[in-house]
Amino acid sequence: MTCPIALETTGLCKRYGPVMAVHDVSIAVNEGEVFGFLGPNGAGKTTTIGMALGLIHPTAGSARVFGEPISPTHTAPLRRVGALVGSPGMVPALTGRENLAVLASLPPVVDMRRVQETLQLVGLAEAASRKYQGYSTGMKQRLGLAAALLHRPSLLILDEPTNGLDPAGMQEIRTLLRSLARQGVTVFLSSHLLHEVEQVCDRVAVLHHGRIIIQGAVSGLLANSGVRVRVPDPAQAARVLQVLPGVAGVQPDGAYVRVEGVASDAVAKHLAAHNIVPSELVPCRPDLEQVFLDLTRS
Amino acid sequence: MWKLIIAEQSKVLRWKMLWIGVGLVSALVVLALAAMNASNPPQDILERQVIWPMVLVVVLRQFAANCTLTGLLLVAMVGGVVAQEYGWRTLHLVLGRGVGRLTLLGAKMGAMLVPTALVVGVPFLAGGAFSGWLTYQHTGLLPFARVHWLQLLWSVALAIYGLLPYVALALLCAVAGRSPVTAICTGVGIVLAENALWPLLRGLGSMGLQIARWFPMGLSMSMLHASEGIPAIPLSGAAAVDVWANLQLLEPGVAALATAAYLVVFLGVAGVVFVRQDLSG
Repeated sequence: MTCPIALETTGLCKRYGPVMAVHDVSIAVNEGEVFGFLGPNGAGKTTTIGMALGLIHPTAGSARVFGEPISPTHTAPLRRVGALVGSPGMVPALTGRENLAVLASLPPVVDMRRVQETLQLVGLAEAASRKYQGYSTGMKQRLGLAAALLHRPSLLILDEPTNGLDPAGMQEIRTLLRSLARQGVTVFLSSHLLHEVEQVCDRVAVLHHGRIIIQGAVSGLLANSGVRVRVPDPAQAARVLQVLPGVAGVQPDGAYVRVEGVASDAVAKHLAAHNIVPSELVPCRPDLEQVFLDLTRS
Repeated sequence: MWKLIIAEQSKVLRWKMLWIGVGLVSALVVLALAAMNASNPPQDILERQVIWPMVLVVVLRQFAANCTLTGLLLVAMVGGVVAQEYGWRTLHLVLGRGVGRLTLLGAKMGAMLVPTALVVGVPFLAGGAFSGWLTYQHTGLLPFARVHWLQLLWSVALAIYGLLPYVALALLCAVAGRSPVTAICTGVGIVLAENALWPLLRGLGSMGLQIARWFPMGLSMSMLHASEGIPAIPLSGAAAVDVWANLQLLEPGVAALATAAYLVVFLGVAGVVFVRQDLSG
């Protein structure tokens, strides 16, 4: 069974003069999932999101939201979308509540009760009467998130939503995102914080120099595990393990040998068959940071 | 669209610059009237420039609907604040909610009707009230019956309409410039250029006047020529002199259509530029 797709980009490209900021980005975000969009600063994440929201004209390719095409001249389907792109945009002279009230009056219209509810949801109820220009970076980010959540969107597109938040605030937002996902809201989370994506997302796409270098389930990316083996002679063990079928890589590491691409029991059996007795054998589960660094280095 | 206009208006009415500008023009009107009154002018000048009903025409033409004064104020104000929204990123926020770009631009233009009306209306009311007090001081009564009130309201409405090309020009400068400094400098520069060309063209004689009357300022004056009818009684002497009579102004209907053409051109170009823009970062 295929899931309905909330957000889809096909071959999105954006060229700024000689620079190809985004190149052939194709992603599909299923309804109800939390999708991570990972990449270092300047990778092209915000530009891709800008194109998905009809803010930027793609040089090539297309974006669809809930099956409907999006372009700068056709943005009506975005009424089901809540977005926070880069630093949030608000009127400095208005209070937090007034800024949300202005947005609440736009279609799809919501009432002031919902404004208050959203302010509470992002932890800004007490500061709602203060002018936006006096907000800290974290408070601005919370208000931006409130603006995105205000009209109960079916799809949330968030670009670095935890920027400027303290660790407790970050955790709070991540919990909120998971809770929204449980309620059926699709979340597209762009971030350069690997642990954030690892904690929150079901699937992830990694963008580097404007290109998608890998995408798939977070669990799948992390499943590409290795084994660390402590042996009396690591160089000899490395030579022996090179010929083990399925091995993706063997790397001596001090008193250890790191073996990639095979399970620990296969390594143990192979070493035993060559009369090598490991004193320690530890299955390694790389974190997303390691996977990301490996991918972007190559 | 209506909700969007209201939403835009709620932002517009918070501009400090709007209230400062309106206050300054109003103070200028009152000061000018006070200075004129203090100079003990002869009776015919007094009737023309200090006391009701003719002073209402003067206040409207020379201050409230003065394309140099209020035109510059509007261009600077509208251009500056709309362009600032690029930096504030509020445009991204609204467009990201599925609002069409042309709809948003139209709503911004619609929302500017209120500040334009305030820029014309408040100084006019201030000048009207102050000159009313002066009239009472000089004549011992307020001659309400000597004012053609409907004509007055119509003239104020025409004055507001005549300033709308400046608002549309400011929007165009804001959208094309994307920065308050660029928008204000360009808009103010164009208005000042119009003001510099106006006397030059008048100096060229009939041909120059025929060109000048098609400028937004000339169109506004053509429409406001009807304000001669604000006094409900026949005037005599200097008070009856129509100072715009030799300007070869256009018929008000033609001027209104030409004003609409300016609006369509300025807003049309602004719309094309806005739709083609990338709103990144």
